[in-house]
Amino acid sequence: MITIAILEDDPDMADLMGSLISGDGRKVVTFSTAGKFLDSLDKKIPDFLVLDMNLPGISGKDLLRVLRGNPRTSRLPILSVSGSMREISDVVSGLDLGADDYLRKPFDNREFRIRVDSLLARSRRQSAASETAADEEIAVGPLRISLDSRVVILEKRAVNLAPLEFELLIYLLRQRNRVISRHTLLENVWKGDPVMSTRAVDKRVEILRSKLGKFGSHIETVFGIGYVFKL
Amino acid sequence: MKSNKRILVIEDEADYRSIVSQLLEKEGFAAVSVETASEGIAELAKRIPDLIILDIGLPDASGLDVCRRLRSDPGTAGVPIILFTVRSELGQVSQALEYGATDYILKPFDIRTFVERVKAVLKSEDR
Repeated sequence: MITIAILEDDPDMADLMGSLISGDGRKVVTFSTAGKFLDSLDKKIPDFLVLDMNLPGISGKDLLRVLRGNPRTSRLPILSVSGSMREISDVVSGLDLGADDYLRKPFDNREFRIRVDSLLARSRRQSAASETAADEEIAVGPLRISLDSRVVILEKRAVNLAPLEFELLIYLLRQRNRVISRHTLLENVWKGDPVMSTRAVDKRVEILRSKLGKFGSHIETVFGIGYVFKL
Repeated sequence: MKSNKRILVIEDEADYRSIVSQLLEKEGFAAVSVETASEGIAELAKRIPDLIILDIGLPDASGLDVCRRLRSDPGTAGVPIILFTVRSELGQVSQALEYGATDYILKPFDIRTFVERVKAVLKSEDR
């Protein structure tokens, strides 16, 4: 059973979206406010989220930041839906901040259904792939990383990374183009080591950047929040 | 905003070809348009673009077949493809996405949506 969450304050739109994507093996749950949705995450993380970018009270962009900053929802497939006239920048930056696909209202019903289906299928393929990949190699631009042997090659030369730098790099690459908070990095890379502070994160990012030379500029600082590997 | 991105448009309807070229050029892209799949393949043999916009229903081939062919050719396998489709052909689109099309745009299209999707696909392919 797949759970699809719809976060939409207009009840008619929520009903329409729900009826378009419900079906066998799918359970659709709707939330009219971000608060209610975020509270629900304590009990269950859905398999998919349709997110209205025009919620009252919290902007879709801020909510995306929150969701992507939380390790439990950082990989949640999200289709953002935006509606108002002035939002050209909202749509593209919604993708930058971590939505996986987007639609403008008014949307074609069938297109909505197909985008949801495609994104669901894509995310299932991706999680299957990451489970079966044993000797996984990550290739990003001039960077080649062999996860098994923990070898990092940048433009055909080996880069000598300390274990924490390696873990940090892998984590950022896997979450590329998603903004990650320092706190999230502490939890996932430093495994919540209580002795470490966010200062340790900043220092390690600096070291990693300098070891990666020019390529290190892909790791961008997002002031007040954390870092993003931009590609 | 000038860009040196080259976009190949394979679209049989003259009106759409013209609108699309104008929109792309206005955004600073260099657009080449052709009417048939075979002309498109010939263009690709000359030069590999940064993006291919491909109509799903061409007179000499289905967009699906063209997608498959482009993906199996190492020269074009890495080029992002945006499919143009109409409502009645949306069913084919999910298949095409499985075969490697990057995204799709429904005709008739909203101009902003068209420009946004083109930019979003190009941006995500940028290294």
